[in-house]
Amino acid sequence: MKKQIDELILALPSWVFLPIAIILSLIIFGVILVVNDKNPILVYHEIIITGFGSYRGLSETLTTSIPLILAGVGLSIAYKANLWNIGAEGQLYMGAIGAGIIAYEFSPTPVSLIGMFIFGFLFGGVWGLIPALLKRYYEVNEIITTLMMNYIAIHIMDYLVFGRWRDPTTFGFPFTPLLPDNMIIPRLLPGSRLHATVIIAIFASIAIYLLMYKTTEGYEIRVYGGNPEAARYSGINITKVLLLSMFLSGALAGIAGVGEFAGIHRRLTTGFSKGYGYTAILIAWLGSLNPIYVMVAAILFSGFVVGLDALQISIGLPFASIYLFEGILLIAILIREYAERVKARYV
Amino acid sequence: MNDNIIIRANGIRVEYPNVVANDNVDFELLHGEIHGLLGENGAGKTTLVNVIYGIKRPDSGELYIFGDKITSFSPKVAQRYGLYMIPQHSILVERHTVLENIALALPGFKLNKKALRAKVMRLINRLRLELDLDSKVMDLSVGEKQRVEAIRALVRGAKVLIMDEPTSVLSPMETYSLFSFIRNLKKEGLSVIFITHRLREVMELCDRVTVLRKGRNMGTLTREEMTIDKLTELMFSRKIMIRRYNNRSMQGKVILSLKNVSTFSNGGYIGLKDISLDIRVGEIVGIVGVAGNGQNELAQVAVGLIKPHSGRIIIDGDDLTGKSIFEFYKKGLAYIPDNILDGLVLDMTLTENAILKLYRTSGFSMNHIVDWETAKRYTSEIVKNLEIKTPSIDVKIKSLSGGNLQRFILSRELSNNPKIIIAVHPSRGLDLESTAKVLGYLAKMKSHSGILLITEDLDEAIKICDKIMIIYKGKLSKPMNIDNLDYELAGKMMSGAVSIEEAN
Amino acid sequence: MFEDIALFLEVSLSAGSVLLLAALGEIVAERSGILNLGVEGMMSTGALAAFYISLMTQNPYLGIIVGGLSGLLLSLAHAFTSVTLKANQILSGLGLAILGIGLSGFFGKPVIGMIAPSLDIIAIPLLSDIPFVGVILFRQDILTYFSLISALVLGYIIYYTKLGLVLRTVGENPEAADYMGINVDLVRYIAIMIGGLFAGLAGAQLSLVHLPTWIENMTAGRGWIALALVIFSLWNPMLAPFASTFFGALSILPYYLQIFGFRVGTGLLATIPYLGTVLSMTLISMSRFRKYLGAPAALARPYIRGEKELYK
Repeated sequence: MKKQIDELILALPSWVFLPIAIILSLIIFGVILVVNDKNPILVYHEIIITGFGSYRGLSETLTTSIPLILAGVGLSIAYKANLWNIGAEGQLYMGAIGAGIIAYEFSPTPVSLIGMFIFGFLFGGVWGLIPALLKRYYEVNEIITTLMMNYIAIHIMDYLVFGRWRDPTTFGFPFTPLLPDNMIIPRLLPGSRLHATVIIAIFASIAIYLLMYKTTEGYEIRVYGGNPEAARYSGINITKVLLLSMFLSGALAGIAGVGEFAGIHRRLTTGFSKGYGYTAILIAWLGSLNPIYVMVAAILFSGFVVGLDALQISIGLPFASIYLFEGILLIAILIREYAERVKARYV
Repeated sequence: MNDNIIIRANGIRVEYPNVVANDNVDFELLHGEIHGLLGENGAGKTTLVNVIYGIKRPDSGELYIFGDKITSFSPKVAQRYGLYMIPQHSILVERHTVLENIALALPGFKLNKKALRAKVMRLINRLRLELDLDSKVMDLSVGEKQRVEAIRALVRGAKVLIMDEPTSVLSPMETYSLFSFIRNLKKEGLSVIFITHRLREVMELCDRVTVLRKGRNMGTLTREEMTIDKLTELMFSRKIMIRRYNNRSMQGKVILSLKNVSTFSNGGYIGLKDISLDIRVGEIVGIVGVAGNGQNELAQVAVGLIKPHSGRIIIDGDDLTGKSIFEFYKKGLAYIPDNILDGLVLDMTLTENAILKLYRTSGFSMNHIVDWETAKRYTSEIVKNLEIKTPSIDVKIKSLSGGNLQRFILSRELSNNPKIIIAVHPSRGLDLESTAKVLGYLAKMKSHSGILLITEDLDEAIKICDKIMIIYKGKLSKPMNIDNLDYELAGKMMSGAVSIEEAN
Repeated sequence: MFEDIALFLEVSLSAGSVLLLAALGEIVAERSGILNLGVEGMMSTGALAAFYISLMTQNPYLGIIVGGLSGLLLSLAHAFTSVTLKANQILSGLGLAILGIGLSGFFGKPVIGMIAPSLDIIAIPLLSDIPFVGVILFRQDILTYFSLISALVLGYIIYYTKLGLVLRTVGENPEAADYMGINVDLVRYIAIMIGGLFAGLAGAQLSLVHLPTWIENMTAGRGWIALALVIFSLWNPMLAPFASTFFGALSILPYYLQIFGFRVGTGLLATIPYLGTVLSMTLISMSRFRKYLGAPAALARPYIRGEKELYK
């Protein structure tokens, strides 16, 4: 059995495994839908129509994709350097907190919004930098530190939202005050929540693509991630690679946080990210760690999210369906890794 | 058949794609003897014991253990007869205690530490060892780990121990205590196959010795027959015709010089002891020695990867001591590392690998932007220069065969008109034809570079070098001119029969 | 005052025992060299399954069993990808976490807010009358007792039996284990399944003891804290109860402090377990005892015979 599968893998070209994984996930998810008395064909049809088939749907898809593009592209840098940053969620929160400092601790100025982006960028970046420093100087495993720092960031947010920054007029609800107009990211299209951060997201994807594939710094990151010994052989400054890739990774998630804060919610609340930092991990791998593909993956996946979201109301599909599908997909794309391994072994 | 014969191998032949590792080898192990297996690296010693231990099935030949003809080759079969191999690199679990490691080897689900402890203690006392059964393996020295492996084998009922170059990782003191341990094992009635490339160890320890050279059994000597001269003669191929690469070039200025360089020995690193050498443009200097005597460390110091704790490294008149490897590269240094995989990123394309060292230099990048067009042109050149077989320069380099990877590195390092070339085993793993190509290529390069060639093969060094220096335990001999080389002396120095100090 | 402290510790122990169960399971998995980040997912699924069965059968003990088994079943997905496919354990574990949360949210929607029979507190006669200690230790529910006994039993197995030796060997040096004839893949499968079983039980405790109802996302990050707890207890099951009680105490401390009139920022206190984990990991890495205290050497590294060099 295993032998036959391995032979089949050898016979197939490398690019087919991602589509296979996606189709497999859709089938498994479809079976679960059937068990739950839903017609999967109908559901998938609805998703495509709602997510991509209308002005409203498409603009909502793009809106949803903003944090996923930013955080996903950021993660792809870290993963290319073979650094297991799973702290995008916390870095996103810290970005929002950084922006909150400008919004709530300083008096408003005409350039406050720009300040919010800069602070968000820096706070997210530093939140990514800390695990990188611990790894570089004390060899602390970054998987657990980035994960723990998610919770630290979320709880700092709780503290601020329940305490220092709480809006006194909300009768005890954990909200910060709504941002004044000049601190709100402008919206781009009428009747849609699509905000200007989408431009930053697209720009970031292209910029990071160029950084990774056209510059010496990106080359160094990729060499280190591919073989640290070769990086040493080549005389690459390893400290620089570690710090740069983790800073950028966190900083982009930080920008995503600013976008959600000043573009969507316009205030801070507890749990204001719907796990975007975790979904971004899936997005980064769906996009094969190539920033351009990551952007495409984020948009497609967002369409799916928007479609499923609408079905929640129309046919009573639970909100958790999206997690269910996400989990299946994340496990299914590991097929690709196995296929690569099989191929490498026989080459 | 003699009852005393435990193992008898007749006409063992093992062939690998590029080399005959064992060519019609006969071997006999007698009960209660310490039998040395002597030969240079690549002489076929490990292959022979791999056959005996069942790891490798021979292409032809017969193997008898305790009179039984072996038909199925597997370590499990060997172990059933009481044969155990002590591997060169310990496979003990570092964070377990000694006792736990021994317990692990016993069958069954019960763990009776008390009974096991008593049993092991009796054994340890009989062998006059000092070993704390409750210490973690990671706190033990290399020598102690070897003894734990041996005791583990004894607890499992070993009758024959095969030790694969155990002394290559030991200090002289540890070697001394290993020898008394082996003698005690012999008193317990065990037979030992002891692999080494050091003459002196054979003279000191072994009851009999079988010398291998280039896969052939050169003869088995008893203790009475052993002399240093006789063993040297058997071990090293003397008076064979060596075709030399005879392109003398004018010797120019000193391009690389190491002055009284020493390094600390720590971890796996061998310390270098007060090493000095000069390399001139137009010459190839060979550093010859058996593996693990510090030649890799010497190479890494010479390219700036290891910083010496004393001494200076001067390239083309500039003192580069303590500078990063990149500064060395900028001075026109090419480096072919011991493990070529250290110089490659397998998941990147040929082009990306081609510029691994050059990407920061002008022409390949400007203002941090890599010029991929130039890189591609350069890669095509590299591929053409040494006829590397690849469908395209845009495929991942891991799709290349081993020989092509080797040629790729070589071509990459030599393509940019280097002034100094440091090549560690550039022909390792290549077949005769490829080796000849590589050596020819190096010989051509010397017209405008100084070359440091590190090799384990004295013959290879003689073919191509202008002078050679022998390295032994981190010490370097004086340079010896190839034209009036005392071959025998060189061999003796490599095996430690004559010390570097004596020769200097 | 004395009684207050006893009460506080009793509640801490009980609050921590959810974490303890999950952490014990993860310790077993990690000791075999498998990192399973999916604890949160297996707990979620276990919580729902246990609650659902308890609701349907009105028998919470049947709920416990099914809850545990559901965690075990889900863990098989991780076993398949990380052991059979030798795939990346981090991605697979994250997938499992998200999948489990999704599964419970998806199938749990109809039972949100219902009340199932819960587990009783079982006071052990005589022992529970011991002042102080009796209150803390012997007036708990069955799963808390089970978690404490498991900590001792697993500790004994891991450190004093051949089985434990085999498990540790697989996690430290799978090559050596293979050389000794141990079936590395089988050991890892079993270890992952034990991890799943315990995570499922932890979920059951959550839905049947603390809040005898089921709401979406009720694990609320406890599965992730359990991962921190594993490090905090230095992969030693016998240290885990202390660590879990400490974490449990921290989680209820804000409420107690409020009762006594202290005003502490809600969020900041809650960061202590996570900060503590990061700090202790750093201290372990800095200390010269690092080599004794660190993670199993082969943690998160797939074992492929003869390919150690290629996939390091």
